[in-house]
Amino acid sequence: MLKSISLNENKIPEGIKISEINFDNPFHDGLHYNPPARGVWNIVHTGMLIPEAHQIYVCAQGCLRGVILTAAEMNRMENMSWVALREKDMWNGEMESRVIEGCSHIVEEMDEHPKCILVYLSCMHLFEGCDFKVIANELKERYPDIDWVDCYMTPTMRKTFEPDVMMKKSLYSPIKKLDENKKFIGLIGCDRATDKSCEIYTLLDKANVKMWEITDCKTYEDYLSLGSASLLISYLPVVNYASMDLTKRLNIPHLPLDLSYDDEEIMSNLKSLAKALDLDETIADEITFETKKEAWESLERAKQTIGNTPIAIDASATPRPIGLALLLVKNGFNVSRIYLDAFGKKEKKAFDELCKLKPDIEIFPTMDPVMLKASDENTESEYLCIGQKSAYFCQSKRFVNIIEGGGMYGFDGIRHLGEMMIDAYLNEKDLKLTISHKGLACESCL
Amino acid sequence: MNQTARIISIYAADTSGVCSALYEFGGMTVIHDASGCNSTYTTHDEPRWYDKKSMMFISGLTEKDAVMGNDDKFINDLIIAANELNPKFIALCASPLPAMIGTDLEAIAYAVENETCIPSFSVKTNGMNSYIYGIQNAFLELAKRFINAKSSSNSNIKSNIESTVIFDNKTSKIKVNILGMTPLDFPKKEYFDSLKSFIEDSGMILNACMGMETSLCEVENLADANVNLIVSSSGKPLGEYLYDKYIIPYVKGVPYGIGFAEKIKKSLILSANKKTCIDATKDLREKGRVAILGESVLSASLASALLLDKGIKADVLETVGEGDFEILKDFDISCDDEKILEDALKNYDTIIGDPLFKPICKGKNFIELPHEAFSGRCFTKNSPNLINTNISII
Repeated sequence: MLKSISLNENKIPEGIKISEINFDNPFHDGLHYNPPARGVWNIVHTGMLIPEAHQIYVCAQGCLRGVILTAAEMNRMENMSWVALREKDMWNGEMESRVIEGCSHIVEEMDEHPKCILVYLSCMHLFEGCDFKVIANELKERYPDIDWVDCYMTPTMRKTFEPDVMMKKSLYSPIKKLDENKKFIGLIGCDRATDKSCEIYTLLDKANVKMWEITDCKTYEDYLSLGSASLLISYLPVVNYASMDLTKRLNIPHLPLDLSYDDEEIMSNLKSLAKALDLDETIADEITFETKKEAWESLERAKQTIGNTPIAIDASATPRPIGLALLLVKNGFNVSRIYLDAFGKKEKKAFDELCKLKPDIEIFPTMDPVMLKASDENTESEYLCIGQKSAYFCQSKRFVNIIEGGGMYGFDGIRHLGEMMIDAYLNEKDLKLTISHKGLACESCL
Repeated sequence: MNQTARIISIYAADTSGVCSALYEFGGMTVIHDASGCNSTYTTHDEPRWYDKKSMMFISGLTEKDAVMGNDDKFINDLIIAANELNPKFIALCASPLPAMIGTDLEAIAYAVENETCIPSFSVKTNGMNSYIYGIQNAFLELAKRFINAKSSSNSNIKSNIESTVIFDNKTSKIKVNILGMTPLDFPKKEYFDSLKSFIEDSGMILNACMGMETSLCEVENLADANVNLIVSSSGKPLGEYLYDKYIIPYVKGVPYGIGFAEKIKKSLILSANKKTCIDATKDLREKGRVAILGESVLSASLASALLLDKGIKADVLETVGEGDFEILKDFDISCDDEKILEDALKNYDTIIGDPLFKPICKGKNFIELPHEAFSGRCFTKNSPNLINTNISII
């Protein structure tokens, strides 16, 4: 059954034991609290990944405020414009023309046309039954030199299409089919660069294949070159909808290589990639011989340094917090808390195993209103945390500052994570300053 | 084109204004919203969020609940949270979608109050107005609900009308309410400290502040004041309400600089004694080649202070699009449109405004004066305190 966490006698939220929680529906989804950890990217950060592109948001003032100031904090206001919807726009039947004329006005005000413009529509357009095709067609007709991309800021739809998922689809929609390059593949779905030391890159080197990553693109042409890829790979779950669209439009096969902390799953993924690159599958064993050893050695060193210090993990750090907890528990770490609001479907196996291995791990939701009382800024905890939200809730200055897996993959990723845990344990961070930075690794004016 | 901007920022919305206004009174404020309003508010519009806890939440409205009109879920969620957190009141406001589908927040508040016995009310918003609108409505609703019945008795009002006490700040001290003070216009605690010191150094007593460094007790005691000091447009409707209902007059203006602070001090004494409302900027404005961009009361106050302390004549270009227009002069401009504003600015040599206006002020002498309601936390650290001190920015 659904669990609703509550406050104990000291007005502190009580976690729920992992062994007592329902995997499919762990928590009551009531009012939402928002902890002050700002590292996770939003649709503005992601849209800024397209070089030489511009963003226009068409929505109400309240919705505009967050996205405009995201750009302002990134020092990217030159790439950001807006059209505000007013009350009268809801009733006057001119929703489409408001978008078209607003975007046209903005383009006319520019010294130079951008190569690509992302137009973000909102829940209001959706509920008005706004004709998106009319808007897209008219803008393309007026400004054929610009790639117009329809994007959506529709959080009301988050139960069916999360804004991040929709954004990832829009992120690649200007890509057009180019002549196929057999020695070129694309990594999609990652906002942050992937470690070049990971086994994916090692396999690509063996196959003499180059990889497209959006974070490497300096020009719009670099970005468009994804259209010549012979294969698309991904390792973050948020990309599924985008990969389906790309595969359908460009006829490029997609190979998911889910980020995992499980020995067997990592090996299986690497073998799949080797096969797709026309390499002998045994090469995956060869290249991981050393990295696997290094991974376990790194964890061993981390264990020696960290000892029995309690560890907290949150879902902003990795899409597989349960898998990561299982890895750490198996290697002798004292994982005590996990902060998440739902379990990813692919975590079921790790969840079941973790329930048996360490049934008393406490699970906390991050959005439940009582979590407002979870942190006490006057008391530092002894926790070593992986992720900003767990660091905030535990009020720990010892934390691994990553989001979405931190660009770490495979056994090399585990090695790297072990090193980051040691560094986090030995070198305290300024918690407030670090987690206040919006969009981890993005430029900030703060 | 109206409602469109190529490069400048946008002001905080009414929903953030409501939350900002009610932050320190011990209530639970909930924006009926899908997602986004909460993180926008707590990231960009609320500098207190990390260090001072307050019950600010969103409903997490979904497409299904919106389409099906499932208000019961919202009501149940409010009751669950209220029973756990025990707030002093519950305030509800709407983001654009509930406003669009006509959600009856007043009825929801009524249902929640019936169930929890916690005072509950809705504050009018739709996510499409500025923060000023939200703060104004929030302060009004809060005051109407919580002003102490004893203070608001007929005898008290009568005594206010018939009062013959002469406030000289020696034998009888004036009690002052500060109205319209939120971090969206005054982002640092030091602004409150300066205002409080100004009032106390003037021989007066700070009776209540709406709404920084305050509590619900201060709301209950609002009607005990002799005069209100309205320091932003956000405090004006409450000031008018307190005058209409309790005959407490108000003075409009922020005591920037030295000369204008002195003018406000005199105005407060005069207002308290004569029971008349005073715009402290009224006779202190002359058309000039300097433009001050921003909220009307703050900008008019700065223009007055510059004239008194430095002999600088400055026009106000009110850029929020909402607020106190009565304080503006014929030569001032109210304009929330980027293109029109850019054209208007060509008539000035020096611009004083938030740094995010800078891109449309090319070729001008630009003096940065950060405004939290426009640029959020981007430049808070550079925000100068001009209250009752020498103005050194120009």
